[in-house]
Amino acid sequence: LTPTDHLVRASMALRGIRPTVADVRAVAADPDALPAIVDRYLRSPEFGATIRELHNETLLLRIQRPEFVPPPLDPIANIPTPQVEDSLFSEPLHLIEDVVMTDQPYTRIVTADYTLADQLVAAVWGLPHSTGPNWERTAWLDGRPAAGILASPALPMRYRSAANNMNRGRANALARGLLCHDFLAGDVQIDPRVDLADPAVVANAVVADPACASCHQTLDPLASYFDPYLTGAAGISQAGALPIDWYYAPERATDWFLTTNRPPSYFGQDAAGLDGLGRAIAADPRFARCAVVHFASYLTQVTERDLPPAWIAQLQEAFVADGFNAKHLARAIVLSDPFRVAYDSDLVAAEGVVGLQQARPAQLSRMLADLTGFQWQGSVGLDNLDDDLEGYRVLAGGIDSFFVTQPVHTTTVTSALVVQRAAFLAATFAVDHDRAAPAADRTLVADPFATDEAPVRAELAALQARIFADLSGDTDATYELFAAALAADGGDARRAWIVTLTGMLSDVKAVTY
Amino acid sequence: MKRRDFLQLCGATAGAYAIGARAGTPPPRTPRRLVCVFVTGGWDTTYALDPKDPAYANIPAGRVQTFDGLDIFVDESRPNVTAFFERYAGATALVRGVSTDAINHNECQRRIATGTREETRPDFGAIVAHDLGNDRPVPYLILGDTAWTGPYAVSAGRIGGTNQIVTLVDDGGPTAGERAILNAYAEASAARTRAIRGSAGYNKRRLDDYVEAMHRGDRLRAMRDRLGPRGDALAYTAQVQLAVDALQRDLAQAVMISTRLFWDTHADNYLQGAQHDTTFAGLTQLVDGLAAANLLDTTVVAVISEMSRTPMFSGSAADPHIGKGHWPVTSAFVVGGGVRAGVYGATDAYSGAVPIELSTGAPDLNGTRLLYSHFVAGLLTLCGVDPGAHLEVPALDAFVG
Repeated sequence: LTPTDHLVRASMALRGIRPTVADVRAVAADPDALPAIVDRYLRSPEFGATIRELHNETLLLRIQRPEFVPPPLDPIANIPTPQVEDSLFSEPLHLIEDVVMTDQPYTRIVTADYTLADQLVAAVWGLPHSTGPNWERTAWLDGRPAAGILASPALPMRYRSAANNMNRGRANALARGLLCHDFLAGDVQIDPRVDLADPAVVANAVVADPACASCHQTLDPLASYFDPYLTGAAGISQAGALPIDWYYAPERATDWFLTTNRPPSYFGQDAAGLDGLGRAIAADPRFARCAVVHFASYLTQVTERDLPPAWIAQLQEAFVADGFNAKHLARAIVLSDPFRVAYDSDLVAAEGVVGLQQARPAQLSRMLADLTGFQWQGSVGLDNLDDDLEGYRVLAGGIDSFFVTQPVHTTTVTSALVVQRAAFLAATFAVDHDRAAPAADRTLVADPFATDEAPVRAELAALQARIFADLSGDTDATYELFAAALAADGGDARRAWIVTLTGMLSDVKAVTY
Repeated sequence: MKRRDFLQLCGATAGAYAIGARAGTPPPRTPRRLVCVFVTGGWDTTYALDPKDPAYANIPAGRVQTFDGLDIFVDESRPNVTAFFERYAGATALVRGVSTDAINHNECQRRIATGTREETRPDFGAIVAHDLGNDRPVPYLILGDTAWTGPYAVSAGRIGGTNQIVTLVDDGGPTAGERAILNAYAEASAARTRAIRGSAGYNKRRLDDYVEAMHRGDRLRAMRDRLGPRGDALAYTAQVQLAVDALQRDLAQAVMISTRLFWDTHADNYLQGAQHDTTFAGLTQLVDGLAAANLLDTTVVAVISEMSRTPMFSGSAADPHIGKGHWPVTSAFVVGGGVRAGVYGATDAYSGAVPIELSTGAPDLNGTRLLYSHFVAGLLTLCGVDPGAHLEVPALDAFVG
């Protein structure tokens, strides 16, 4: 990549927004300016949002399933269910964001003695909270051990456990998300002589049958850590009042006598309680490697199995030596050679070169909001690019964390339609805003009344710098677009600018990086 | 990079698909449309598809009835099961004893749909759509929830849980004339990007997808009236109607439907009876619709579920969690064009999978354990796709006529 293309990719990958023209000019003048700019990006709230999104892709927490959350009860009875779901399942993601953005060791995500809550989360779980609308640090009042996201009810809520499953699904979700160890990835050839319907037979098989015990000897003790959380399909959807103080009950910690019949332990290692589990995970080399793999895959859009092993090993070593600083990890990734790869002229090698990353729905939303001020919201206030009930998240290539668990990193017929509609709405918003605003208050289009060639080209050059990071001043293509739109719309300047901006915001140079 | 991965990546173009074909001249196959009805959650096959002796399984009320050689468990409380097989048993191949080798829903769903264990591989609907109908506006129309598109994402379109797609193709954006101007601009911009770093490989496919998707979107806009109203989640019967319509109007080559019923019944296993009845009522509606549209000979209807239920109830009567758990051996069936009707594969009295001879589907103790991948390969063959280009296993193609 050229230095400015590298800047664009770093800005989009870390923040989901395009770089400012000042940043583009700075890097064009001096490519060595990039690392300092990246450091600034890493301190931005947009990077915090990226951290949440990255971890949602790995933990698959943010689902829209009304049956997984409490019914409408005071004091949240009037809050739309999608907002309840969003807050409750985002709680551990906000904790992770807080750990990363305050430069705590990344291991704190499983050892922290606090969490974050908004008013809704605080109301549901009975957590201290100010009257403010924001997410803020708070703590569990029930003596819950310091275990970061392991102490959060969100993961057990998301991965409900049937009583006979005995928390094994929860344990596997944890292992998959934090250790990149998926117990389900292998084949499970059930011996037909094992009657899965008989709990006593199953309990014996997972200990005595080699085919079963090979996984269950480590899975079941991991599952036993989750005994304090309620099992059963109904869960908190049958709550009768808020706050809920019965979903986590420390006295259930010894239920393994009745469930897996194996005491909690971490892959054969003694570790007591959820806090012990958190410390064991933090000390496991797989945890560091898994974090590196997740960050690298997310920021490069290279599938995990295709990441260069030597690069991952190098990043892991530096990550651990650096005290698990996740910002530094992200910095190392976006300033590396594998990140700034653009293309390969060799036909076979070109297959493995991700030289065009695709804007995810959340990135598209932030990019359009940053450029135009436009927020595409549905009837209950959710971002249409972050919602699947009314909105278009999955249609735009995103995940719903339940049915669709892999993002689509290319343009599909539906994502093209979403981009075109979002670009048109954002363009309309920006042009109408800027035509109504005094010149000093215009957000994107400095001269939205221009129709003569010279001022139009000047305006287009400025827009290209802002949207494409293109400082060339070559406006032939965009001027041709403007002129054609102006002619087609009978000289209507407003409409011509809307069409032109729609084209630029949905341009392949805007939606890929 | 593995050869298979390379071929899969190259599969976005027809020319590359030819590279992936097995050596030698494959026999000519009739390309067919596909409707997949995905019964997600795990059906209890003792309710219809795989009758069992009550000495070895907890079974519902009913009796075994034979329809054109298919032994089906029926009951007056499930009249639509009976009605379906009375009409269509002669065009139905029933496959029993399919091992998914897992007891987790997501894992099993991926295996029975893609024939593999990998999340990045396309399911059989995406393959059929891409290989046989990529000229359609939305080759793979996903009306339900669960589907894997892998490298064929550009050939797939999800309508959204509340049919959001209609909002995207409704008027209100640029006019047709403005869209033509925008398309010309977008194509020119993509061409410039292609010249800089998009002439080959991954980048080229992303740019190809960008342009192709734009044109597919325009074709979809022209078919707005076929997409139904915006509203609540499309119910099963509404999906059935839309599927027939989409195939009839050449909107899609393959359609994925969800019954949108709760099949992971566990303690509520009795619900399976009503859900079988509802599902088979929809299947009759679907196959009737295809027949009325003269599409039945050229369309395959595949009905799958990622697992079945344990043959016996777990626990005791005093146990509040009594019910049926996950069972890694399931059944499936296909109806329609090119199907050699009959029963293929088998389970034993304990509901375990019996080894079979893949070429005939007949039980053979020295044969092969029937896996999800064998079934998917056979299904691809039935639809007219060379399975060797996608899966590295032999096909259960005994049910291909």
